[in-house]
Amino acid sequence: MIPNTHWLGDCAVIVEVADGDEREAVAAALASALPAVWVRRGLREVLVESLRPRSDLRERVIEALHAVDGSFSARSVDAAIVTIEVEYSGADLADVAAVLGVSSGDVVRAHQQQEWRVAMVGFAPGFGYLEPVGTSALDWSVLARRSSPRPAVPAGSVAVAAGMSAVYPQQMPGGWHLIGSTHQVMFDVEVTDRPALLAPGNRVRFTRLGQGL
Amino acid sequence: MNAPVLATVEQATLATVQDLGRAEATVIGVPRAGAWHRQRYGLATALVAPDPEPTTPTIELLAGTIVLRARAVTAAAVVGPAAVILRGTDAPTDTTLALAVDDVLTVRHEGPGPVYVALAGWREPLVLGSASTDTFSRLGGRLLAAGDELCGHGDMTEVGSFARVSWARPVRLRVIPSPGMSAARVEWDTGEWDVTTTARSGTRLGGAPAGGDGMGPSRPMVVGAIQVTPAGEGIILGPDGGLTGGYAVIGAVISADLDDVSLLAPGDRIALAHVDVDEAARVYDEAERALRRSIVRPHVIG
Repeated sequence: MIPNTHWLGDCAVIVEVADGDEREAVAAALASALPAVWVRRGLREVLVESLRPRSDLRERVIEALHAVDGSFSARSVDAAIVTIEVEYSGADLADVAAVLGVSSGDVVRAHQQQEWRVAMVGFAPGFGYLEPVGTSALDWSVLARRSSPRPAVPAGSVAVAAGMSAVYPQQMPGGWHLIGSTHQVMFDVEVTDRPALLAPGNRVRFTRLGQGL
Repeated sequence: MNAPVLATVEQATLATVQDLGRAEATVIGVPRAGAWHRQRYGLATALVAPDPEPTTPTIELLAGTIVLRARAVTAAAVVGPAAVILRGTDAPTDTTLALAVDDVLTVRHEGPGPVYVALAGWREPLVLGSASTDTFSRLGGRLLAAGDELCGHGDMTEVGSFARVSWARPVRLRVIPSPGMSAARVEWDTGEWDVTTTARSGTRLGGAPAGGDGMGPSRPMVVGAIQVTPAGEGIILGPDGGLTGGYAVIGAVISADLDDVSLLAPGDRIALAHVDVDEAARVYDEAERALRRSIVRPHVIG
């Protein structure tokens, strides 16, 4: 059975997926099967966009989905690993520990032990939504967003919320819980081959500053 | 940039550099940006270059006045509702204007919507493949100010004028509906909306009943997508808008009507009309053909 699809405007088709693994497989399959389109991701959606209206775009997406039906999970995806050094001294670290019912040290250890995957990008250039993959020492989904967002979260803030983690690439408003900070530059237009450090599908590991992996 | 100075900016308000934007960068999470009214942009560049590129820069004027002083022989074109003064006398929009050294070109925005000023030979440095100014991500391009230099290799290309078209504010936007139902959906789809604020990142709509879903999982967005908050506020995403969002989406404005969104001003009332993709693609192709036909070459007013 192939996933559901629908139009978003006249230049884009949305493919609904069940989970992160299916999303990565569908995105990779569509990117290779459909030239001259852009493939973007949501948490549970893949978006295929053309530069101008094409009334056959949805048919082409459905055909491509049929062509790879049944082999979604077997396809290889970009699993490059990005390591980010963190100083775990965020303003919300103690609050996060309290909500999760553990110590601050437990939160820090669990955040480092967790393997994360870039589910999607785009809140701001360089902002990657990181979802946990594999086993988790803590249930990150217990954490909602902060009840009132901060008007200015400092650049480099490492945060968790809504079952995900993220690094703020620049100073910007934000409602996630801050558990640490990094000096890692997340977005730089001068790095012409890869302005955004995080690409969808990448795996991410956090390490404590100065301790390596 | 080592190219000679074509013109200097003597005065500017709310004037940014825009081209067709960075569509390819959307996959790395960077908004498309680029000209808000793409038809006017396309006409302006076509009037100063026989074969404009997607990176051909223009000045997008959203309000106020820009004053340029020519530093080399070149040609300019102004497209959109504006008062134009060249060498102290009125000059037309929608026409190629010859500029001599020290000629002063004044463009006063009248609206509705953005006004474009193109200059023959002008080039700008590109960031992620585009000269456009992303006002929300603060990436690329520049907000022009007095003293700025516009550089390039000017030439007199004599590319003509075009039949003027009306720039009336729209009262209706055609939309491809997205699936999803909520208590207020019928009223959102068929009722009228008030335009409350406008910006390149998004146009906000009010006056509709509440009833949207809360914040859901973040989803990919496109320019023209219409999000509705639980309070019943609508947001039509613009070229500098975010690429992801978590509010309910009731549909997206068709490509042929996207330029119309840039014409809206606070206080306008707007209704949505559902069309299908076949119709949307047809009217887009038709509008593109009409645009190409409207250019008349060669004809220069000096």
